[in-house]
Amino acid sequence: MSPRIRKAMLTVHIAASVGWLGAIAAYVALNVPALGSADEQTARAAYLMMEPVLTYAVIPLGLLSLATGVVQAAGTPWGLFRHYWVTISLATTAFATVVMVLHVPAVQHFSEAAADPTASIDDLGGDLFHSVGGLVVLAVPLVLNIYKPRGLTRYGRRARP
Amino acid sequence: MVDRPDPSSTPQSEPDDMDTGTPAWVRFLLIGLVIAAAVVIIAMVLLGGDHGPGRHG
Repeated sequence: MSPRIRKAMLTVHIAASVGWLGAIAAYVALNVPALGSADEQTARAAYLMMEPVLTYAVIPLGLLSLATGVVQAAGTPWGLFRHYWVTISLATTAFATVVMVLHVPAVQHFSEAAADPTASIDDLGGDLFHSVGGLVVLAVPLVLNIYKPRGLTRYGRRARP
Repeated sequence: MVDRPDPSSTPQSEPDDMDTGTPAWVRFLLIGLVIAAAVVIIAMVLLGGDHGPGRHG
């Protein structure tokens, strides 16, 4: 990969990754009125908004972050499986992406319950576990990508020139 | 504008003492992940195996 393309890909990767964290933070923020508001309409609105935030912001940015990260690693001397920090970043990002996609039906359940005026939202219980957990999990690749701690994997040691 | 090389864009050569075994930071990270997974599993068991929004419908 030429330096110019590499830098362009890196720009997209950073934008998508930071945007992903920001979108999850917005999703976490929706839990405040959903769980804490005394006004039922406000709580229902917050539950309703979780689905579009997840579908149109969190998931696309997560997929873009994963895809550009894979291209960025595979297209440079870092490789995908040569350095521990790259491999662990890939694993945690892929794990967060899979959990995020599998979580869509549960959030659709929120939306359906909140849109139905005859349905109670008292038992929905918010969604802090997954959203805060997602931020914690994504802190791992964030730190690893900045510090790039040393350490070659077994494959990386074998593949070394 | 000159496209100066970014030192973090390519791997630096690893010193010999980094060539063998799993680095300490990887071991600490794995131990942390195992502990976190254990806490989540124990919490799920104590809460009746349910977690997440609306207990997943």
